[in-house]
Amino acid sequence: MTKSPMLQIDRRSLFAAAAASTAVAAANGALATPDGTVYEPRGWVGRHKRLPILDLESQQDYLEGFRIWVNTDVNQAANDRIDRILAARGIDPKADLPLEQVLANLKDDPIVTLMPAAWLRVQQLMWRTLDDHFHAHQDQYLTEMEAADKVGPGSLELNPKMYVPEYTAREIHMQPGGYVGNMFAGQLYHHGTNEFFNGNNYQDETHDARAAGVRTPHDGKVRRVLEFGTGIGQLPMALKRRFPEAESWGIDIGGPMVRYAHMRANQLGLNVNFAQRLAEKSGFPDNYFDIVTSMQFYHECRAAEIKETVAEAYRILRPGGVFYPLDGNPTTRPKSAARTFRTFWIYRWNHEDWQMDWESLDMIALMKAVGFKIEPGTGQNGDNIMAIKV
Amino acid sequence: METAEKGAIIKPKTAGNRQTYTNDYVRMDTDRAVFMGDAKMEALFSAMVALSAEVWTGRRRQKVLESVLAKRGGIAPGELEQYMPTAEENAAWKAERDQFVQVMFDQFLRPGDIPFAESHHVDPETDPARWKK
Repeated sequence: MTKSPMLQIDRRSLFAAAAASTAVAAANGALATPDGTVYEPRGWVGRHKRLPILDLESQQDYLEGFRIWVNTDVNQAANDRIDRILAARGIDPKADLPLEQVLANLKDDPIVTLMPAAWLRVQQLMWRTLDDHFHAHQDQYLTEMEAADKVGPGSLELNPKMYVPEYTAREIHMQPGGYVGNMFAGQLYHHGTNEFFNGNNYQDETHDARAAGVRTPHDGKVRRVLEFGTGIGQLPMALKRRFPEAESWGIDIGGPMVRYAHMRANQLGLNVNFAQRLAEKSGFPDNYFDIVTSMQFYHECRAAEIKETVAEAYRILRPGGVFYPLDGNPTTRPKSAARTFRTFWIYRWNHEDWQMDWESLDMIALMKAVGFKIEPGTGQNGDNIMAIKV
Repeated sequence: METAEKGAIIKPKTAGNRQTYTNDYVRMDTDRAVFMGDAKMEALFSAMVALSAEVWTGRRRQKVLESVLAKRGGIAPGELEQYMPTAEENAAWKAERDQFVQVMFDQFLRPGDIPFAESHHVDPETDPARWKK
């Protein structure tokens, strides 16, 4: 178990502080409420800092369980139902059907429509409960981030006056304020995605597994790595664990996201650098990185900017460097009515507003157009594409 | 609850003079969606999810209380908040939680595809013509 400095606080002193002053308690790392209740820090489990209130943790635990039910039992029942409905009407469910035809056949079925209803409603509840909590204690959480802004080991670059394009300022995943419009976007995203990953990422194990699969240059030299659209920085942290000698970077347009990423990297003792920057205008020198990657980033980008980021990756990679987005290749993924149905409601109602841009782009052609050479065998059957700067 | 108007430009919440590194954002509109064919049904469903989360929260707190009392023979202020479940407890509780979700919500997986008023057309045993005999 990793111990945070907060675990070393004497519990008795915190209770004494609570009786005297919530402000004193807050200064010691505890969470004070207006009614005088003081919640002392609840510690870490490995890389996971527990939510500060047991009931909030239990609420999120339940919503995680509900999501697992939706992603397993409901998803299976809905997919079976889609196949049966279409087959009964003489339609091949594995065909690449037009969206209008898919919706016309499925829109009134109670089990098929339960999938988006349950998935989206539990997510709204999750965001609301987390958002309420962090804003109710905003002074203390802001103080925690302000203290972390100033310390390392990694660096943090925030650019509060930079231009934030409207296309990035969406409430993706229905997250309140999105990645740019909520001072606690990082906290919300972290706890929310712990549930997205069905409880399988509390120790960043999903990111470690993805980082382990990132392809490296053929000459084996990895001195600098970068993730576009890093969010709360779990991938560059995992890459730092994989390549401890390398300089690891994560950039994201969301100031509150990279701010939280920096704080968490410090808490975990990782020397990772974060900056609030756009992927298509990364600001790094030519030929700087050995690997440029991303994780589930491109389906949140508009087509015009996807093209620009591919060109930017080419510019900042050194010859022989590898561009390896962990985003798969949607144009080679098997088609089905179930997939078309899901992609639609995810795009429209989970507010992945640029999903259809990503679904329709030929990434291999884009990569080749700026000069990349595609590693043979990659990008097939929906798999990731490995592009090498020549 | 705020009314969601898709595309509206929203100012982020502030914190006095403190820097929050936030920007204006574009409002989403998922509150307007109806998936189950009836907005009231949808609201009932959401209320059930929220209610069941509250029930589970109470049950889980009780479990922590029982574990703490069993191990210590007494309880100190804040002790429930500090309790660190064992790996075995975590696994057992999560399994029980998942079963709880299923009991609550498997109802929604019922086919429900025979309207009551038309049920006599589906089942010959309940055909009104037979009842007249």
